[in-house]
Amino acid sequence: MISPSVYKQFKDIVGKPYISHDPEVCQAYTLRNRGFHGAEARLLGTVPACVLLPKTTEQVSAILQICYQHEIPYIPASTFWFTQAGPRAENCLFLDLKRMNELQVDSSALNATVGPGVTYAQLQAEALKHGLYTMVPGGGSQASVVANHLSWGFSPLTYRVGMANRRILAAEWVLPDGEVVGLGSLATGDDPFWGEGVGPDLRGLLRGSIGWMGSLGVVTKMCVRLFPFQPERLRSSGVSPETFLVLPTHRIRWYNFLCQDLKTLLEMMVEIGEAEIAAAVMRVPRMWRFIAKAESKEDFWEQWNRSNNKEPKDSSELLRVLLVGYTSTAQLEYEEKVLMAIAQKYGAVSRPAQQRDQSWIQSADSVSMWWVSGAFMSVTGQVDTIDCAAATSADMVKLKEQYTPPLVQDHQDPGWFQATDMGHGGYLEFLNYWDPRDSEEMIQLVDRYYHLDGPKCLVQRGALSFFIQTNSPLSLDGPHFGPHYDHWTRKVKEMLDPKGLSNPPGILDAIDQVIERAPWLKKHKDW
Amino acid sequence: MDHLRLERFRWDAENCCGCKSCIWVDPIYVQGKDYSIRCPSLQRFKFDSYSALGRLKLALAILNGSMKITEKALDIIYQCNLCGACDTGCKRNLDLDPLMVLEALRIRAVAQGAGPPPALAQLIRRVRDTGNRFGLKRAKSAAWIPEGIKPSNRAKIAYFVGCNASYKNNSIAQATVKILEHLGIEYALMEEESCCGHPLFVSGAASEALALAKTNIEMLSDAGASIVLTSCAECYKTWKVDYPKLLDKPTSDMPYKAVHLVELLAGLLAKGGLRFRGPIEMKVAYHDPCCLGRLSEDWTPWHGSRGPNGLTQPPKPYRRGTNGIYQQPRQLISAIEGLELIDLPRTRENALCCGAGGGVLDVYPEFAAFTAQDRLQEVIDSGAQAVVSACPYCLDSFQVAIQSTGHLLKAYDISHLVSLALLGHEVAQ
Amino acid sequence: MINLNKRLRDTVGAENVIDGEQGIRQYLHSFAVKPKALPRAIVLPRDSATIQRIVILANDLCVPITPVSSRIHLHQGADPVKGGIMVDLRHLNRILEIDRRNRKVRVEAGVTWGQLIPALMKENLMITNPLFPHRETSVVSSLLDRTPPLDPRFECAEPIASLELVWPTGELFRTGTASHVNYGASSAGGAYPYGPGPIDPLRLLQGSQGTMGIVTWANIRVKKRPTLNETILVPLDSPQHVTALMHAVQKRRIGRECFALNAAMLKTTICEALDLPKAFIDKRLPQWLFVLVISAAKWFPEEKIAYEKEALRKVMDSEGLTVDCMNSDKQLFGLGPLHHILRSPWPDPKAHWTLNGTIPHKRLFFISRLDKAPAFIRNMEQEAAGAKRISLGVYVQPLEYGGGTHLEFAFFTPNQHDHEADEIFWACAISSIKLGAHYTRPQGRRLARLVYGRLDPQYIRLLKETKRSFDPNFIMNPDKLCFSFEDKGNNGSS
Repeated sequence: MISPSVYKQFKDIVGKPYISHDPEVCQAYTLRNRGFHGAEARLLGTVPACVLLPKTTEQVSAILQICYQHEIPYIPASTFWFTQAGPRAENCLFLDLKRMNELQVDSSALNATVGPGVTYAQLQAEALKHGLYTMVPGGGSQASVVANHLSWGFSPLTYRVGMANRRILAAEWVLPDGEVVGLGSLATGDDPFWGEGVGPDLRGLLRGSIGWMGSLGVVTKMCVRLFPFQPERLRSSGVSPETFLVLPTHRIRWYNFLCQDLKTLLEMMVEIGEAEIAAAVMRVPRMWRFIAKAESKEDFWEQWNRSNNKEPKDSSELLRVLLVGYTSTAQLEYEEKVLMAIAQKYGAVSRPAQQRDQSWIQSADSVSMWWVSGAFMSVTGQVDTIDCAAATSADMVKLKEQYTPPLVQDHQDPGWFQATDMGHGGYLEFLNYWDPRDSEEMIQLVDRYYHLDGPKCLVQRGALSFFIQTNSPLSLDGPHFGPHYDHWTRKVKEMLDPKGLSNPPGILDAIDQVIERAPWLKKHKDW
Repeated sequence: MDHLRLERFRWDAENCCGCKSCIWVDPIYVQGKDYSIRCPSLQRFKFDSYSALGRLKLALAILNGSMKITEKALDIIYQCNLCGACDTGCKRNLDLDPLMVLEALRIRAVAQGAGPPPALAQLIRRVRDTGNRFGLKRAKSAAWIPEGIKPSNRAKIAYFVGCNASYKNNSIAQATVKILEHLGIEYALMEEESCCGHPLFVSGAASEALALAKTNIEMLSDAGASIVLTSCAECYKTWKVDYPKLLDKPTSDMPYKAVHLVELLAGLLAKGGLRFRGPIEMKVAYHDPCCLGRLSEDWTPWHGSRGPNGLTQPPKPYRRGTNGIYQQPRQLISAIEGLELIDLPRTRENALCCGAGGGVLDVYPEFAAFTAQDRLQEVIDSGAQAVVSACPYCLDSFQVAIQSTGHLLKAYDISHLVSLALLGHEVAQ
Repeated sequence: MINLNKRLRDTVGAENVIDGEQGIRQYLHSFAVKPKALPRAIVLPRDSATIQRIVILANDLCVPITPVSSRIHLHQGADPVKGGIMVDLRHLNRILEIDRRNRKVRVEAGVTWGQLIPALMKENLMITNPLFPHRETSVVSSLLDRTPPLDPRFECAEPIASLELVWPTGELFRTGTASHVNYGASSAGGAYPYGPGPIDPLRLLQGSQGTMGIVTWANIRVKKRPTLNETILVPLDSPQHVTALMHAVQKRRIGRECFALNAAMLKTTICEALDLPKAFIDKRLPQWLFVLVISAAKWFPEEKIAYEKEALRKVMDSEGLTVDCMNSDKQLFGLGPLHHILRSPWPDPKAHWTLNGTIPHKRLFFISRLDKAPAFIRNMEQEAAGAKRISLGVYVQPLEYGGGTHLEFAFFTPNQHDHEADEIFWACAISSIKLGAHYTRPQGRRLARLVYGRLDPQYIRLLKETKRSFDPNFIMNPDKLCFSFEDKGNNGSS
């Protein structure tokens, strides 16, 4: 319960229409039943005591000062489309940042300044008007630009530019005590065009391989890098659910190649990266090919089962490549020639590709992951060498077999691979689906896979999952990476949020708490 | 009416993943920061609770017994246009049935005696007592008929005028019948036309709506008509979708076919049967009425169950708004010389409700006005000189908004433009 | 303090300690400008474990440390703290691994540009380098110091993929995907920079000038060496034309190395590197020279060059520049390919272009928007116009496809101790700051004071608290940036 006097203070800050402690309103902001079916949501998720919708940095600062003074835990969230961002403490304040939706494109300096309420779909649409573009993340174009740049920011389109870290320019940050600090060029002026600040780069406090998920204050404004695109218009077409962008094929084209096996596909990725061509390079998980073609969930399952019951099994691998003629049509023609030569070198067969984009330029249909069976999560999302991705994949395939069922049988699919940073990096996301209405016993098995055996496997392999805080207990992986990155991370947390009010229990302790509270997990804790 | 009980939609309430496709315009069609939200109540009230996402959670809490239908809950439930934007959005990727949950919440509220809000309860009484939503004497319903109009006593096509065109926007009814007569299409009028029942249905008074549906269907049959023609999108959707839904039958099994005026005319246009006269020089934006667009696909009942992975058995037919009446009005407008058709940023299945739907205009006029003004601004920003729709309630909504802002924009029903183009003169509004 | 030196000798071996005054003064010859303060000792460790022991000792005795990794020190960030320990990493000079498949190289902190570039060339690889780095400068140090790359492509901007460091408390740590405890034996490839976890130590080390830790080695991204190159040189007559052309070229993603120099800077860099005769220089130098290198590697290189040149022609056309303006390096300088020297360190092992004819340490560089660069240049020119003896050199380097620009100004004067020139320099510094110049790495105490002194106290507080978290005893290069030894005790307010 927020005391009446404190409630009044909050109301005076945001105004009566933008605050509520009605349970009917607050229950919309729970972590439960937001698609996140893991043990964390089930065991730790709470209903916030009060929801506020601030509009300005000044309001956020004032709110956090009050929270600091009265020791009120809070959680900031913008679109809430990363289901980690739900309250897990009692009597928590929920800061819904959707009203902070300023968006300004600066085409001359190749950037856009956005508030937390701005989504990628909005930003991309505005950027394209200026011949620029951003990278819609795997999570979907409905994700908040600010929150996603701070926490993840990866997709096939990041092939050239990598994770979002470097695309964060200047930012305005309300620290947990309510003080406001401008990072990057906001430290020296009003123009947020540059990310490096004076001296040590304090963006290093804002995020690393992953972000803080709202547990280190609130970023209320961020300038993000945009990139030169090609000048032709991408026409929107189709009627829901089949909507897509029609690609101007003299400047943008998708290519599909069937490779004889995964090894060949990955070698092609290496070579494409080395040739410094392309705008997206990825292996399509086999299940996704069926999702894309299915007319309904029932249709998907019928086709999927039929295909898997066929003999001989289809072991071909689909490599998907996007070429963009950033410079000119001639560039695309050149890159196509190189691509075909590489394909020929590896015996990859070119397959027809629709010249339309449903994902990834303006949209990313991440929600289909929940459509398959009702629940979805990835036990790893990592970027290291392509070989590390391959090795981790092999481990995870083996481990997954032990947990199938309850995990949906995907016939040893190695996962979602992408080349990134022009092939300097190889991305692996290992996806898993299950029925959240399965028996308790089965759900507990899923928990064990996700929170214990999956992370242990990654630690053994040496794979640094960038989802690390979302499924792995810090007490397990902390000592193994850094080493003891947990120690240094806690230092920063203690430095800036000594009272632990920002999204408690924070990403540092949540999973360990889950394990403590779940006997079916605790009994398997062997570290 | 077991098939409409909230319990039937527990799976949908439970499986929301929080993606907010129920709120955002389809990302492929987002044109920028502005006009990228298509949920009117979320846009107005901002809290997630006022979106399908929030209402599904509310439904789950009610189903689980952890929440009652309080006054606040009623506010959340009824400050919603039932426009179906959430349903279409959700079905782009997840195929839940949010709209069924929203309708079932209202039915539950009424069944428990908690709802509907007083203004809707009054509306129900008016329909019950006078056969129309305005509470006006039935005799007045024929007052709109212009001189010289000669409907048949019995015909295959019965023109169902609807409350609004009968008692308020008579010009729509007048334009419609003049068009029919000009084209030599035989039609009849129902002798004692009652409200279609849409206000009852959206209030959650499902039993009363069902009773009225049965009465109207019988009257239609008595009139010897197998086609019910309407120029009101709400009536159209009621006859085509809600009656079968209430009766738990497929649309295809109904003893009539519901046809909107734009469907009839577009069919004639395709066959070369419409000759428009001289140009109407105007830039017009077409506003897709929810009930004619994304909500108008045929109804097919489903009585299956969900198995592992949520698979339906037998397979559920999905209504995704794909086959709504979108092209026909556009074809008509484009065929009229001089009219320049502008598509709004939120168009077709992404259209923002005019603000009137779901009983909102009756209960929450301020919310209705907010939404109408937002839509109006979208029209103004598009550079259009006029907004055209195919529903008298949309027309009402826009006219009120134009008046309150003092803007020079004009609002028309498509029947006005078509009749002008066919007949060469305006039907007085 | 006798105890300290003895303990140092015990820790690293007497042969690796320089602690007599003569030895120390001799050592300090490697500084471009001899520092005023003398360290207590200079230690030269050979491995990470030794560095750790030194740092632990320094903490025990509360003695400041200044880590250096280059053999020559061109700016004051390397200046020792009076009575402190200099940790010179020159013996950490191994190229540990060249990973051709993943296009990265692992080098110790003491590896110099002069070592690395030829080693990579042998493997048909190359690294994105800055403008004529000194061959004795540490590669890792240059990259951490954010020396701007000649190649403005975003993909090339930050080549460090992971690194190992010793924290100011003495713990060993690795960043990014090299952070696994069994790195080297596990599948961890060290190819990705971020984390581990929600903080980014690499970021905290960048721009820190040795105040946040001691880096021992780094994985650095490299590229395949192009097989075909063409350098395009466009003489221009104003900064406006320069930035307009740069913006247009970058927006179309044409070419690799891309930068511009004014005549004064051109003279002291490219012309000197090519050893051009004075008569040639006096006759032929344009006011501004825009330089663009177009390259291609393995696949159909001629076709790549061709389409990029064609695109460039269209850009030139739209900027009102004729195709005639596009010179090759042969046309303008009549000598060998320019791209070769642009991908090499400064040829003279003793001198360096940053020092030639300039007042020592009197260079100003900061980040600006590309479209504001002409205004900054004009401002500097106006400020410097008062002193006839000063010739202002300007270097314009677009960054991240022109999302930002590194602007560098050199104040050339015949007399290194010119007092008037010195005053002009500071007037320029102050006016550029007032105009909004974003100094991300101010070098030298006075400039640092000027820059940090204008920052929001919250920012300073955050910097100091961050430092205190990682360096509770404030021993790591504590008198640099906005830090001072006295900050150890207080709450971080400036």
